[in-house]
Amino acid sequence: MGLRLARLALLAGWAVCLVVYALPRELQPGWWARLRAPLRQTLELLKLRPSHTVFSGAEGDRNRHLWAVRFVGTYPDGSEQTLEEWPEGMTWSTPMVFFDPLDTAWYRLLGKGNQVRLSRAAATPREQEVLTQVRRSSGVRRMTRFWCESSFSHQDGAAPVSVHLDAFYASKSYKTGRVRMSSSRIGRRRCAATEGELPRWIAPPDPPPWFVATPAPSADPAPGLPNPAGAP
Amino acid sequence: MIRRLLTLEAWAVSPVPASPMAFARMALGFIFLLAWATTASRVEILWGRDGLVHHVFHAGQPQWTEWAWPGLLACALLGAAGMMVGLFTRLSCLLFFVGHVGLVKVFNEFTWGWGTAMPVFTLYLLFSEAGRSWSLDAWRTGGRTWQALRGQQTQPGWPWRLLVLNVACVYVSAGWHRIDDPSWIYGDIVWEAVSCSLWSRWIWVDWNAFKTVLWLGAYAAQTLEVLGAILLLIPRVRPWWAVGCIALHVGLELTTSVGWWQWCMTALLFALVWPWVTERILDTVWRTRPDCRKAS
Repeated sequence: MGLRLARLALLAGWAVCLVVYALPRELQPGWWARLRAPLRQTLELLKLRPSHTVFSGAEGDRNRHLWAVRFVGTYPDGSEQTLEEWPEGMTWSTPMVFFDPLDTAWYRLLGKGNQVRLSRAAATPREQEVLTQVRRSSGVRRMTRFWCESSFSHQDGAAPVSVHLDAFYASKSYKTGRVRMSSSRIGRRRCAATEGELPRWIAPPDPPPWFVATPAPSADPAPGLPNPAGAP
Repeated sequence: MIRRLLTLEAWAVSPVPASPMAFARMALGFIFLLAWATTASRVEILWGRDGLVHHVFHAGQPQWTEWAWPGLLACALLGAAGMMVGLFTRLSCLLFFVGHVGLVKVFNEFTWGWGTAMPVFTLYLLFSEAGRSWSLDAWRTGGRTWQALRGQQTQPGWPWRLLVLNVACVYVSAGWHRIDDPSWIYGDIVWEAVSCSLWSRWIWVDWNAFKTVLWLGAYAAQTLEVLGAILLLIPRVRPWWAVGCIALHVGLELTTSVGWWQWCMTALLFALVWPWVTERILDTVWRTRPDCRKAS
């Protein structure tokens, strides 16, 4: 009998959680939030639920369906450069960081108003941890990972965001439900759209002078994560 | 009190026809397999700019972690295939669950419910006996005769009942937006969806000419979804309402594109219609007959 009651309790508990989860946030009872908080923290600790998601912020907002970013900076000497022609309507709330395994450094793309700068900046410990996790879990050694902490947004009607620069391209299409991403370095390989519905490309600029000075990538980078520039 | 609770428990686990869950298993397995198989060709994000082939065969000695993503994809594909044909069904569901959740958390390909609802529906299949009917498992354990494919015709009902509740909860979640969003309230949403380049499959059509029809369509969809949260739980109404919801999702799939969501919901809603419907579909697909068991 105890077993049967336990089974009923389990089923009923699951059913209640289902219904409460489905309710709009405004109608969810307080105990649900109190229950969820430690659960989420535990899952994050166990790395089962990354607190950061690649391309987060796209789902559910029709204004964020399609974006592409390419950027150029003073890379790799560490100085900053303000980009030109930043599309109007492009905003974000938090900085974006990425890790370049070729250069073994973190970079941060900062935006304020219509100005953008690329900074060879210290990643915060949290960013460092997240990026470490990404790189280790992916195991992809030669790929420049693009990590969007929060979201890019892109207003309806505006041209696809395509800020030309060093080597980044990413797009997400609501229309096809697909995410594509590729990265390359100017002078080594051009970014290429793979399907027709992707954003039109702005022709990549000529390689900046500093590019020549870029050290050749190691054929076999050391495993693990190199110490990021400026990271604690 | 205890007696009432025990009665409730007995109802929750009481047997139900096997065909709805078997159909859900097969249909979802097929959809998942299709989804991840077609995704595999463009998962550049997983293998870097050189793509999978180069990464596997020409990239030198790979680190073991480099195989994590191909491994997860293999889990998803094998699991989905196993679900579809009902081979080692529980293990297949588990494999798919692991592969799907692992992939979807990083490779955030956009499909409604891909990372939330679908893993949970897979869990219901995992814990059900969906693999014991119209499956290779039924064939394996039933004497390896053609007739054995049909397998057992009932199964404990609690996974199916949770599935029904979960489908209804999907409409609870969706229903709120139907009564909270001005586009839905004023009946503009279908027109907006089909004329928006983000969603529509028929963007070149001038939908203004059909605005009245689309307005009616919006309110029909709103009615189906808002009331579906309740009516899908009422046995007498459930099959009829499920048929209406299937029509809704098929219509949405024909006009808009939001990934695999409409496919999945259609498959799940079939598990809510009359069991004889899924039974006949399964008999047709597997070339079995209702009297197979007797014949064997």
